[in-house]
Amino acid sequence: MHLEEEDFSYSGEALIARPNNPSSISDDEWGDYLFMRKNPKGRHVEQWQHSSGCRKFFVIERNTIDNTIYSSYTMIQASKEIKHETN
Amino acid sequence: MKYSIFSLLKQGLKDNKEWPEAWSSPIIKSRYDVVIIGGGGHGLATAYYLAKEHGVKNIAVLEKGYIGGGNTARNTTIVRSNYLWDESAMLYQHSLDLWNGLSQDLNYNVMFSARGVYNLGHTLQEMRDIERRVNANVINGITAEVVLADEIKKRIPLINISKNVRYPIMGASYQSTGGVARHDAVAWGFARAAAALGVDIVEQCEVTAMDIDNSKIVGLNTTKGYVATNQVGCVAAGHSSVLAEMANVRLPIESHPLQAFVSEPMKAVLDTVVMSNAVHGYISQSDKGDLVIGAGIDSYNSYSQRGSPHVIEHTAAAILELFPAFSRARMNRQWGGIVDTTPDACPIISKTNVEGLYFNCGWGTGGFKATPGSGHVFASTLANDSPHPLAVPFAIERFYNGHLIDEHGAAGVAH
Ligand SMILES: Cc1cc2nc3c(=O)[nH]c(=O)nc-3n(C[C@H](O)[C@H](O)[C@H](O)COP(=O)(O)OP(=O)(O)OC[C@H]3O[C@@H](n4cnc5c(N)ncnc54)[C@H](O)[C@@H]3O)c2cc1C
Ligand SMILES: [Zn+2]
Repeated sequence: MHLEEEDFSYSGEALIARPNNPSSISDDEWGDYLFMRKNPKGRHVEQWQHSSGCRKFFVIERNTIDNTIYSSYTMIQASKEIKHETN
Repeated sequence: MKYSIFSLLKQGLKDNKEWPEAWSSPIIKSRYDVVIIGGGGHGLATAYYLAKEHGVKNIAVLEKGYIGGGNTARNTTIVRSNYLWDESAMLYQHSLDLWNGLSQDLNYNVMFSARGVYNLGHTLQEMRDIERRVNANVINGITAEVVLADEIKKRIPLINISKNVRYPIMGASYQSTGGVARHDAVAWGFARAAAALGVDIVEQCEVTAMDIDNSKIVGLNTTKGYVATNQVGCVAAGHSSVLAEMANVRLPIESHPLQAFVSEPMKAVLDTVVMSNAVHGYISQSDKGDLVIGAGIDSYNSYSQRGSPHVIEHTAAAILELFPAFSRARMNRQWGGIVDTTPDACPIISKTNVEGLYFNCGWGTGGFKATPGSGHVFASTLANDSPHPLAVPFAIERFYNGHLIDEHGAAGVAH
């Protein structure tokens, strides 16, 4: 099925885990979590939302040079299947 | 050769066939005191001021493509300094001060034209923000005023101030000292002036890896071989994260396409710059006569120097709401550049954890206006191994200690 890009909204790098105990970690760790991004030239694991459709968030791996999409995951699949590879 | 009316006459008589090249193409050396990665406007300006004001002799600018191939010559050339917060206002005003004498200083006509910049307001809240920003500007010594719709119509006859549109124009901030400059001339002018001071400008030379020993930079691998150096300034705009990764430095940057397009040339119809945040578009007319139009970034990360068509459609719709008469204008060219955005829409001018490695990046959608100022403060930062006073607030530390300089929205459209 073909859907337009405009049906979706981008929501950035995927699988950034929120630290478990924000009050007990250092400013450096918190700053890393909040702001630092991989921003790779090449394969990027990222979140999108089907904002004009079912409104679900999902994860894709896309090439930031030519926009090839390699794979897509539900949020649950993504956290189980790709977390260990990328972190 | 010094450019002047006499050189123009002399070369003109020779049919313009004997102009020497503006800068030479040196063979890369095996060692430099300072290497600047990225031959955009900011990198070239950095090298120029390093040589001119700090007497550094052995400098190279390494550029993976050609001079003027990056955002330097892909932008829509708006120059202004009417930012809200003191830190950014001071930095951009420093740059604007340099723009004013730049053509003379470089002996190259960068065609800086202070034709004024309007940032339109379409809602009551926007007008309140505009008043606040104009007041902040005035306190900081930056020329700024609030103009209401009727007055805007008098000054810009083609603009539509009708109330029968989705977002009627209520007023604007106006900076009479802002304007436009010729972007590729800025790159060429800095390249020529830097080369004249002995800077090696090496084109077609991509940095592919960094040689770091004991947290100190000692050299670079490039497509033209290994270069030894102990000081490296990264000024790579959209590719900053790629360089940071080579050094294991983390940056809060995301690269996005930013698109622009120009119409066919037409008679002079717009003698100033008009920007709107609410409908999201901005427009000026170049000296050649083409309408120069741009808007916001494509939302997704990308390095492809092209964006999606719906962004162009949205931009064109915004411009037509402001200027219905342009509905008949035919568009000539469209392109994209890769801009390096930060979470607070402000640049990063900073040392890193690697000794001798510095970054000047994150200028995002609005760094053209900062070209001379950015180069000037970064050169001082490199030469003294300590941030220029204007650069202090822009260190990477702000993302760890929370001192962000939030220019999002505050500065009108961020270009
Ligand atoms: C469409 C568009 C419109 C814009 N409009 C405006 C505007 O109206 N006003 C404004 O103020 N700003 C505007 N900007 C932003 C402005 O263009 C940029 O902030 C500014 O040009 C960035 O600095 P630069 O000129 O040094 O970048 P660039 O010219 O992009 O220079 C960076 C250079 O680094 C080189 N490089 C990257 N990686 C490597 C490597 N590994 N080795 C060697 N070299 C490398 C690149 O090839 C490039 O030439 C706009 C940008 C775009 C794309
Ligand atoms: Zn869906």
